Amino acid sequence: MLNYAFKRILTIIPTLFAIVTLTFFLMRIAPGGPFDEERPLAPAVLENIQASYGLDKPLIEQYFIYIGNLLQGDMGPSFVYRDKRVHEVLAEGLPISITLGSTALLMALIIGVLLGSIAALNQNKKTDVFIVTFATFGITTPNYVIAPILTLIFALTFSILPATGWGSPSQMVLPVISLALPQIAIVTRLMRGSMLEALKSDHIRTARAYGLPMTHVVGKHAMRSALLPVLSYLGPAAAALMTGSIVIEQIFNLPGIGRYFVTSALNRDYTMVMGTVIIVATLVLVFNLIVDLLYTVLDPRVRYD
Amino acid sequence: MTETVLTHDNKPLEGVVKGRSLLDTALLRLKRNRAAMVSLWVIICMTLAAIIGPTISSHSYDEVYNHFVGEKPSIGAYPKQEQITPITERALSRARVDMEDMNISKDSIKIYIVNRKQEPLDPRITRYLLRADIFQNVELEISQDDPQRGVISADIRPLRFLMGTDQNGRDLLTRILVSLRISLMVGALATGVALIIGVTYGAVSGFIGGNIDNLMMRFVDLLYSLPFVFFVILLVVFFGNNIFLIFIAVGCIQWLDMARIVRGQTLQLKQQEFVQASEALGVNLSNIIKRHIIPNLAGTVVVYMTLLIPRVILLESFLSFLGLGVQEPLTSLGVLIAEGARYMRNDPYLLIFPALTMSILLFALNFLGDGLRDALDPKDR
Repeated sequence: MLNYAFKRILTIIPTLFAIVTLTFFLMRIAPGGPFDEERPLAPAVLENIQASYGLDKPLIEQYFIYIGNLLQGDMGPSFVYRDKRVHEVLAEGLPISITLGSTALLMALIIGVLLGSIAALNQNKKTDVFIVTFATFGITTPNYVIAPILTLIFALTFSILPATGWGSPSQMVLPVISLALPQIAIVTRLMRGSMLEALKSDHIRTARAYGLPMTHVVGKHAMRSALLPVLSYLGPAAAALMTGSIVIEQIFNLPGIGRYFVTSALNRDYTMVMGTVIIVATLVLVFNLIVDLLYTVLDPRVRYD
Repeated sequence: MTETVLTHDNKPLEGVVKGRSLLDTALLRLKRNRAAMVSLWVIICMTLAAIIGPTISSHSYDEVYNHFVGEKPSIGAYPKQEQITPITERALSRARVDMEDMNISKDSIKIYIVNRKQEPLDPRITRYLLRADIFQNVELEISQDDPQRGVISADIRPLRFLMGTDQNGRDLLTRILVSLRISLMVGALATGVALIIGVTYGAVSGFIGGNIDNLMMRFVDLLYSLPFVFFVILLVVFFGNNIFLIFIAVGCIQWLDMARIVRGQTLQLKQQEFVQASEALGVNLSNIIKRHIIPNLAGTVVVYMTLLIPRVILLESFLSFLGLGVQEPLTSLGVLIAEGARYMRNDPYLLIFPALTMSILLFALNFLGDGLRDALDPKDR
């Protein structure tokens, strides 16, 4: 187990390295630069600015300098947010994005597992049909549709919740729900499917034949095997939440890192792009690792040697 | 199915009923799935609407009606009776003529005008009225005894905005139809690219096997761990705003699942008795692939395709929502939703109609995909 974890951590490093390299060169080959403005700068000024950021050196040299700095934990200066280092900018937004994402993930897990189990236990009854319809609706409605509609209902029509901003718990409600809803739907569908399968299996029939209470059978025995597909979905879910947060942060005007995704790429803020890519890639990779390790806990048949 | 079965010497064999092929059973099962069939019809209707809708619509998607900004959806025709007078007055003041009298009937108008300057009327002033969008067949009759005076007669052109107009005065229905066209085109394009790359890569990897297979699949694993959306944004930066190039590029990324599925299937098929039998009978490789591998892969590939199209459409609208996709005046569902969200407080229909179109399209595609999977999955028989 420990051996496996160690091996997996070792594979994360070259993957990250490949991602960093690919992004670095892709970004640099793209037309345009961070100092493009409506009125072009005087050539001498531009040269001076580029020299001060080290952009006048050959690309390969710049790459090695960047990697060297990165290994020392320095992501370089931002080209757009002058006087700030990239890690400072990201450190401001990251806690907000993480809070938003993890709350949504937790919510998706709890509600999805619950709804999925209820639907499976009431297969083909009204409750089941209702939940499945809800889940299909959730999957087919992207969160940039859900978010404005929820705002329209709860913030603009009934004025129960604030429409924008960040800080108080009431300001979290709408963004978290809009972000979580599609994931709730997917987890519900997964859970329903796997719970149905689990309920059909032999050990559940045996447990019921012994006369164990239904709550015990479902909650302890069926749940354990039914959770596996949901668990393996957590990796993609984390990535989807990351994507979703770009839109959600824009709609609700939240100061997370989602907005840097788009703006830094459009502004050719090279170091900022690298910073966000590294953060996101690391999060996804580490998350996938945790999921794989959790697998052994839930399913003792899976062993990594 | 009136095909007759022939014996080896090409005489019709009697008393033999032609068996049902895999495809027949699959279609039969699909037909029994009501949700999938309804979805299929919805998709066909939407595709037809997307193809011919913008052409037969009386508006163009980028035609701006300055006098009809943010009109609510209605079946009735514009201009409403009370709108005619101010629009006419504005047009006449642009033409620098004064109105002496005006008769409005149900579908035509008669205006008695006099030139502001002490000059004869210029017959070209009719164009000011044509530009006001609401008139057609504008004719100016200059008075015989006083060339400064004249009578303009025109028909009122009925304009219908079934789903209202947007904040720039463009017909929302036409814009939705055009965006449907863009979404479907982009979905088909990216899926097609993903299909070609994925099937080729997966089939080659599965067929060759061994170390090369291992290496090719490690490469796929590496690509899997890339933050996908980020790369799409980088591609947008790279290709500027050419939506079609972007989606060819998206197709170049989306082939990963396809390659994995096809490889798995190919590996399995390679072991099957009928493939080994045809190998033993001396059928050459390309014929084995053509006759046995591809038909057996087709089901999986079709299912995966119907599930990939909605994902691509979602991605396109996501990019457009962020302002990275289709550029004005062209539009897509994502752009319309983003615009609608901005004005939803006063004009909720601007958000509701595009969002509804999007949801129905994705709903139908998902149901059809699920239905096809059930119909083509031999395990489920």
